[in-house]
Amino acid sequence: MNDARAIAEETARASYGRLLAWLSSRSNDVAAAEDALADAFRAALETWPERGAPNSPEAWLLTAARRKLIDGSRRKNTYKDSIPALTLAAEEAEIAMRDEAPFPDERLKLLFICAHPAIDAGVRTPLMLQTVLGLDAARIASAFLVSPAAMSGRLVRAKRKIKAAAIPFEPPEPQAWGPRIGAVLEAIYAAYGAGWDEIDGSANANANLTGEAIFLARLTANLIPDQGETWGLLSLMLHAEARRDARRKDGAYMPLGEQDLALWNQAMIDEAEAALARAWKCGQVGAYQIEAAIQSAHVAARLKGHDTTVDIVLLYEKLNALAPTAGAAVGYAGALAAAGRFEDGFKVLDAMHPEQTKNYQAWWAVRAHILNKLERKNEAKIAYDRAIGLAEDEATRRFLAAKRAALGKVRS
Amino acid sequence: MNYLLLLYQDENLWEKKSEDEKAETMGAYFSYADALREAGAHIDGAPLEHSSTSKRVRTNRVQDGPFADAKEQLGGYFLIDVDNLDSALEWAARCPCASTGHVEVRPVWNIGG
Amino acid sequence: MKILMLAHETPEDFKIRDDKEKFDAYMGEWYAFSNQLAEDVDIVASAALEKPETATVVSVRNGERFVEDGPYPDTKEQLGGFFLIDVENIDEAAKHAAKCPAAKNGCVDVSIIANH
Repeated sequence: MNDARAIAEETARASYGRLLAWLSSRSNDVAAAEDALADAFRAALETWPERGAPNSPEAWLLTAARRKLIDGSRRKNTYKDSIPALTLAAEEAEIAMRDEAPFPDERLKLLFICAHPAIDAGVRTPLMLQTVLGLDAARIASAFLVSPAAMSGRLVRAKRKIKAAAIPFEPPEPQAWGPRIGAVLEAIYAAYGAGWDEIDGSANANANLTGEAIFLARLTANLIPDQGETWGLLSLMLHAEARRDARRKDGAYMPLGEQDLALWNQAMIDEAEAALARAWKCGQVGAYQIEAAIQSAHVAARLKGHDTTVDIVLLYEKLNALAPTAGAAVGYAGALAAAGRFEDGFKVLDAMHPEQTKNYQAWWAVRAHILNKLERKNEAKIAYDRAIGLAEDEATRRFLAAKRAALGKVRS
Repeated sequence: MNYLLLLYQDENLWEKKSEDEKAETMGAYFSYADALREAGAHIDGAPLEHSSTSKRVRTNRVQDGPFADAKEQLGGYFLIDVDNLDSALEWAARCPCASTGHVEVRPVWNIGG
Repeated sequence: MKILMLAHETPEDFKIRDDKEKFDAYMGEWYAFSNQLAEDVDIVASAALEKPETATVVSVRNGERFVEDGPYPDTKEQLGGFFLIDVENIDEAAKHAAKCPAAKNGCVDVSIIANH
């Protein structure tokens, strides 16, 4: 009996997104497909323990969900047009599964629709987490620091728009391919960011979405393997994730150069390196690939003892030329400082717009570090003060305070 | 699937145009409407007079336009029939108004399916 | 002359569309209004629109296309549908507009179609 339950739960985890992609792309209605699939899972949990799990759990669930979807359409007497499509789809699916052909994976359609330009950018990541991975609104809400009711409302609205405005489930036109993939990757990276923040803040494991983000990146890379940026993003996130446990020691912030290598996840680093190699083979350089290459160079410096400081400077130059952001500029300044080019690093920081920098903690921290090296201790102290004031977590505050204390006695 | 394209732009821009410029703008809209017709997507469409000639009606009150200090006003519309939102957005982007103001794309409500 | 009648509804009115209990009465009012309007004047075109939150805004600047989800605050009156009618003058259109269900809580704009 527990076996049947375990199979249902296992199928839910492994196949949720694939089943939902299949059902919603044929009904053009994500919300109705979700309801139907939820009903099908409920029915599975009721009947499988008694009668045993079916040979093909996915086919069973799909057939059950399809019936619910068609019944729902008939009852509402709306979306008549979708009934033939659904009926056909279900027959097609049943035939495919009788032949034990692999169940077609149409999750790419879901990824694209979640990141469609007509969908509010703020809800793309939550929508992806819910439809592709089956996460519930409460879990997503906790990662994005909003109330479950508010998150639920946003998700419902987005799904209504998909249906009412007839956002198509077809993949985008070739000329729109680039920006659309960019939007998908951005949404995945945002999921990763929502997970990272939690490391620094309240340790709510439930809110950590880094694993989900990596799953989505791996999925996207495998679905569109000829796009370098998909592998680049996967590599970048794996690199960052591989060092997660080493970022803190007894609650204190550990910079990369001082991290305990035994705490690095070597398997993840290997996968990150493989993904990066795969990205280069695609032959289209992009920002995620360069950011991943920077991570890779940092890791090589620690693991192999190579001096990669010059490589890192060059990579940041490329990144700033390709995708100039405040983060890339501050990273460049830091890389220049690491290569001993403090004056150059200072100039890069100075050239940034005050509006970009005044509340940017990393800018103040790197500036403080460079000023210290330039023996401008007074200014360094002021910059450390600002960085500490802008820091969002205790570990970073303590790390910066120790640096400030190490300046020694400063004339005020 | 039908969509209403609402064309918003600063109506004073039109007032400031020379006769030649007006003719050129009109030509662009005529070409656009023709392209819609040729694609079988055109249902209806029309330009509006300056908003100062409009009236806003509530059950017990009528107010003369213009109604608000909004920078852009509704200057016209197209009602189109296309396959899906992507196609509607494509047509919206081609509308001359997309370059001078903005086009709002509203799906038509197919009441009762 | 041709007049565009734009029915702006309140967020509360839009919510009735999802309210099973009030929906029939709401639709009944609209059908009564449009049937009467069709008897009184020539309706050239008309359509009801999906809710404002299904809107998408498109603009093009320097050849680059910008597509955004319609940013709609819940507090404003929004377009819910329109009628294109043929009448003698705008005052006649305003008279009809006053009977529109949207005029009760929202407002109905009547605008003259330009004769270019």
